[in-house]
Formats: sequence, structure tokens, C-alpha cells
Amino acid sequence: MAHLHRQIVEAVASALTGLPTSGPRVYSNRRHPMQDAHLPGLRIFLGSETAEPITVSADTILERDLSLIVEACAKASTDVDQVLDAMSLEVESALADGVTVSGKRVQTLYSGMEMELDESLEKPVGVKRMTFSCVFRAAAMTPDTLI
Amino acid sequence: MFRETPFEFLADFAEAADVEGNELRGIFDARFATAFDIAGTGPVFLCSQQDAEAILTSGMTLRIRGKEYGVASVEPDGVMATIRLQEV
Repeated sequence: MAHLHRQIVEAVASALTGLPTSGPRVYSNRRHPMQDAHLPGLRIFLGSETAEPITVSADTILERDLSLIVEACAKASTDVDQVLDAMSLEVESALADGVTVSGKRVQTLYSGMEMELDESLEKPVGVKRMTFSCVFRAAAMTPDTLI
Repeated sequence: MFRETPFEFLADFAEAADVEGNELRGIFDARFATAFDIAGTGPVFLCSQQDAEAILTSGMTLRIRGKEYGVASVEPDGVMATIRLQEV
């Protein structure tokens, strides 16, 4: 199985696919700039992670707190900030109950956002960068399996 | 020594834009640009500062190559003016 990071990213991407504003434009592996056809769209990235052992046995269990970033991206002649606000409403609502990974619930707790606008392109563009905290447990030896 | 003035450059390469009924001659450029890893173009119109000041203010519209743009900003450098445009 893939690392739990990838499993969680894919579960989040699945939960966010088909939202009213971004529709199918959800990207968790983007390497190139987004074109107009990809907008308005969502980008999913891993942020930082902290981990603490919660057992002292040979099979150490780690409690991990993963920071997951969802970027709402839009380009619009007017009201790009309103488009981004609508997108974040949809994203936060879709992730409010967490996501399912290998049959288990992983909490995706909203922990804040940053918003940036730019007017140097042919139309104003903006990004609303939302951060979610995902707390889960896994054995140190098996970072692909939720406990 | 480089003796050409920007106005000779404009005479060779400028094209006409319509600014709400007034003609403004300058060089249009809309090259590839990105912001936040979002692709687009950065349309600008380079003309003489004197012409720009006589005709343009922020908020006006400029039509060139069949497309209408809003004037986002006028950035003079003492001789020329770079007009940053956004699609309307």
C-alpha cells in the first residue's frame, strides 16, 4: 500500500471532486502552472507533520499530526475574491466530517487560511490557501496502515 | 554610441489602439506570465509618456487587436509609459 500521506491526499481529493465551483478540477500531483482549463480549481499539498510516540514497546505507535493544504485557485475579471470565498465554503463543508482511509475515519480539522490576490495577469487571479490538521496513528514500522 | 530615441523605435513598431475614441500609438505585448503558479499573460502597452498623459487615465478602456482591455495602471519613466492592461 502507499504511504498514509498519499492515501490521505487521495481521500481528500476524492471528497473534494465534484464540488459546485471547482467540479472535477482537483489536482494532487501538479507539477506545472495551472492553465485556464484547470480553473477554478483545487490543489492539494502536504504541509508539515509532527509525530510523537504513544507507546514504548518494540512496536512503537506514533500519533501523527499532518498538515494538509488545499488551495482554491481562480482567475476572474470581476469578484475573484468572492469566487474564492465560495470555493472555501464548499471545501470546508466537504471536509468537516473528515475522510475515510482504508475504512477508517481520519479527521480533517480546519486550522486556518491565507489569501493572496494578484493583478499582474490578463485577469485578476487569487489563491485561498486552507490548512487542515489530520491526526492519526500508525505503527512506526508500517506507515502505510492506520491504527 | 546608441543614438536611437524611443520615439524612432515607436515609429518602426507601434500600432494603433483605440482609447474611447482617441488613437494612441504604442507597442503591445502580452507574453506568458504566471502568478501563484497560475498561467496567463501579462498584457502591456508601451507608448510615449506625453501621449499617455494626454489621453489616458486609470479606469479607461483600450481596444487593440479586436480585444478590449481596462487600464490597470499607467507607469511613466520620464520618456515612455508602460500601461498595464486587464481583459474586460
